[in-house]
Amino acid sequence: MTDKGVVYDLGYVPYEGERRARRGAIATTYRDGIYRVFGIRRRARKKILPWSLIVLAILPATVFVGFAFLLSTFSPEADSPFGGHGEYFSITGGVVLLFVALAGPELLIPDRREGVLAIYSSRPLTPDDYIGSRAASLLTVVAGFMLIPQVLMYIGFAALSSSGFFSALLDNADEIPKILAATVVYALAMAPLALLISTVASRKAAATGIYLGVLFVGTGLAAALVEATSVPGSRYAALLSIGDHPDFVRDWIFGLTGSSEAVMSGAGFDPWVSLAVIAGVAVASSIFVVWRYRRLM
Amino acid sequence: MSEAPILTARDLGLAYGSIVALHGVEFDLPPGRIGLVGANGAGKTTLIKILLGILKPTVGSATVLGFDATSDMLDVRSRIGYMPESDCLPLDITAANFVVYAAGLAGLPANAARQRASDVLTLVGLEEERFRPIEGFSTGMKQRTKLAQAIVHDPELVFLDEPTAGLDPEGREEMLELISRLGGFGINVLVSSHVLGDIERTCDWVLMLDGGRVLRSEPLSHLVDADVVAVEVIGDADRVAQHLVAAGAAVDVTGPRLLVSTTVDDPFRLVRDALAETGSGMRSMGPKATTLEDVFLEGSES
Amino acid sequence: MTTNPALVESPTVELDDASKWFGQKVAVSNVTCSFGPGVTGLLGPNGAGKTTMLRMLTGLIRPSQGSVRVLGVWPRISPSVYTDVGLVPEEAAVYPSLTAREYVRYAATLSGVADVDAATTRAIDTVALVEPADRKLAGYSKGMRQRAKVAAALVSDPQILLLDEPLNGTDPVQRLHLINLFQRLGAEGRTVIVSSHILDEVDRMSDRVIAIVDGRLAAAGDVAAIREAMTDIPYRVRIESDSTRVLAARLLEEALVHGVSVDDGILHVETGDLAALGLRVPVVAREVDARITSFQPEDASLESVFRYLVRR
Repeated sequence: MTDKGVVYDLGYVPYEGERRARRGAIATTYRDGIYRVFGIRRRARKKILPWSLIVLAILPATVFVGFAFLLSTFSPEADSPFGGHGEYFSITGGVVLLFVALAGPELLIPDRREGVLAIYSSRPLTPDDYIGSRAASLLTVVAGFMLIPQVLMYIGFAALSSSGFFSALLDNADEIPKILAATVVYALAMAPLALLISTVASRKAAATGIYLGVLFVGTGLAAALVEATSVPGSRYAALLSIGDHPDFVRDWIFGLTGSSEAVMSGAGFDPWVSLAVIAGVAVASSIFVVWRYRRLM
Repeated sequence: MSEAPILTARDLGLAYGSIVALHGVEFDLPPGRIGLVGANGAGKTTLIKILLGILKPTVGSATVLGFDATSDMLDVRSRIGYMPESDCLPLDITAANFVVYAAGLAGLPANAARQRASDVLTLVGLEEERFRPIEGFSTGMKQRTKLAQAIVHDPELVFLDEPTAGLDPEGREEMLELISRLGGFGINVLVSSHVLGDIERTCDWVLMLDGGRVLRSEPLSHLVDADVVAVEVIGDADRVAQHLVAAGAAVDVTGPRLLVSTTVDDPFRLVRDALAETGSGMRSMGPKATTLEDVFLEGSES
Repeated sequence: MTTNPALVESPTVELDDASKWFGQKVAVSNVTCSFGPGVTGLLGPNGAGKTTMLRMLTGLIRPSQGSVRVLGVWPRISPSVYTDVGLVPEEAAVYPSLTAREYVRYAATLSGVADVDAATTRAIDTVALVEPADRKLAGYSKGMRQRAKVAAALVSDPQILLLDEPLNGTDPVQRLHLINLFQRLGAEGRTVIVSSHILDEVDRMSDRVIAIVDGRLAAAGDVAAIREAMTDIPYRVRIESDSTRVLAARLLEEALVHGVSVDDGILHVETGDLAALGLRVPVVAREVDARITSFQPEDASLESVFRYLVRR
């Protein structure tokens, strides 16, 4: 450099800034998981299904809240076309099921098939960190799907309440722990199984198919087998009705009478058995998935 | 760069079932550019996986940049980069987005990740292509993207596994050029390659594996034997040889190629004079250099 | 007697003004060259048209213009192409659940040889895969798989052997075996055409090379002769000695020297005539008593030749 001119070296500049190591790696993987299932930063057509599903889940609640604020002559619960908080889980439950069937495979399978795990293996991330982040992404999204409409409903009911908006918000507060509990139950019933199947299957379409198959066939099979009262122990077939368990527990939480043709109650089981099955499957799936990924990475 | 070795191994071994992938591996590799060579199945990939913490050795230990490869795996991985040989790029994302992601995975905050990714993609020569999905990339573009993600976080040491595989000569040339520059950026390099010419060109040290054991670990300059001169003659090689023998040298003749050694005088001067006096010329001349290939083949035959 | 280095005296494979286009893309453009017994290297950047050319030789595709003859006939219409031409394609696809012997046998059956078993055994012998022949291909290393593919191509005892990147992924030991094999096959009188990016190996095993750039024939013949034909690009020679500058000044007085440069103690000399320089340097060095420890042409190798061809 002289007084008259200077040339800057635009060559390689070493990085001296912040390095968040493991923390950063986990956070990045978690965030990427959420982007991935919504098709963010990916091609447009990958966004269609997930966003349509979320709209489907939220739309009824949104409509309800809209009407509630416009026409406060409706009285809560009884006149709401979707019933109360508990019943709404049936609507979101179905939509979330489809979403998880697509999202679970999307989170795990491409990384394996395309060999990207090799890159993760060079980053400060243990296999447990990786799979934990992916699971966290899935659970976050599932919780979001279920909770957002519930929040909207909560607001809607408060708006319709005869005792005034703000006091209704407080009065209905006893619904909140039930909503949260039911969300956890549904999330645990659906997500771990999806991750398990996505760990074993090698194609996304196959994983989605198997997941939905297991759920529908399992429940159907359970319903049929339970009827075969001549076979000893046939009532235990009810434990196979995977799709049913979360509904059964939800009924119990919200004190609803068997709104679905609950196979479990028909077979004479108590709701805590369903809870135990859900917890058991979740734990077993998690153990398997963690074990498998420790060997892959 | 300090002189402490960047990679060490002590009695390192890995066996699964009856297969012994590595056995009794010992080395101290200095900073710089190291070439890792060996036949298929010699243990190169196993060694790299142990150093990355993907595999655990059954016996012994290894360190990377001073950290134990097995117990301090996260410390190691915070400081290294890896360019795998196999396919490892997600196809449905653009190169730009992917390299930013890779930077984030290495712990860089968002803005730094974006900046570094952009700079590194320019460095490896991906311009507008970086905004296209990786799915449509040629082998050359994929290799560049792989290299970009390996250095985006400015690691201290980068492992390159067959970096020129599938590249055409021009692509190979550019890749080797980039690898040679990494040293100047303060990045140590370990290149694993079948193409010995690549190693000879870019590395200063060679670690040779054979059947899971270390065959050689030494500077490449050791392969040069300054006491013997190799010359390819333009003209009558036999006549030149006679002239040299008369001057007291020992000469090995193969067609136009001579290998000349002498204890009585300087072999280079002898060769020069013999050529001048016989009116012959030199197509090429230099100290006898054992190529990596010679070492390799002689090693695998034993 | 032909004086065109792109043509050989007793050709087995001939391309005459052959072109191939796919829609708007011209993959091969007006190529006239021929191949004969021995090993010929086929070079070119990716996408230059080499693979298209090879496919025209096997009859898989037809030239859009011009002609291609293999052993005197059009490969596209002559069924003899299946037995006379062996192709070892680049793709890695082999049937992983078959053993090498089964795979080669299958190829033998497909090409309709008379005695399938004898042909299979002979082919496996030739590539030295006898011991592992009954193991499944899935367990093979890359080098062994390459040899299996070569065996499959050799099973019909073809006159012409086309090899597309046969050394991919092989380690130095396997590479040497394969190179020796190709040289042996060429010495037997077969026409072996090897397309490869690993230039210094192509240099080693080929008797001559054909270079394709952007679909056109860029160069043909012996590597040293091709380099010599690039008269507009002077040779660069690297000289290490103990009196670099004295030597540099003295060499600059020679008419054949175009220029000298000194970089970090190393002398680089530019000349239009490499052999003449090689003859002058010992004399000049003796005159000034310079001890030369290294004299190496920097751009006479196939790699350099190729680089120049691509940049034109």
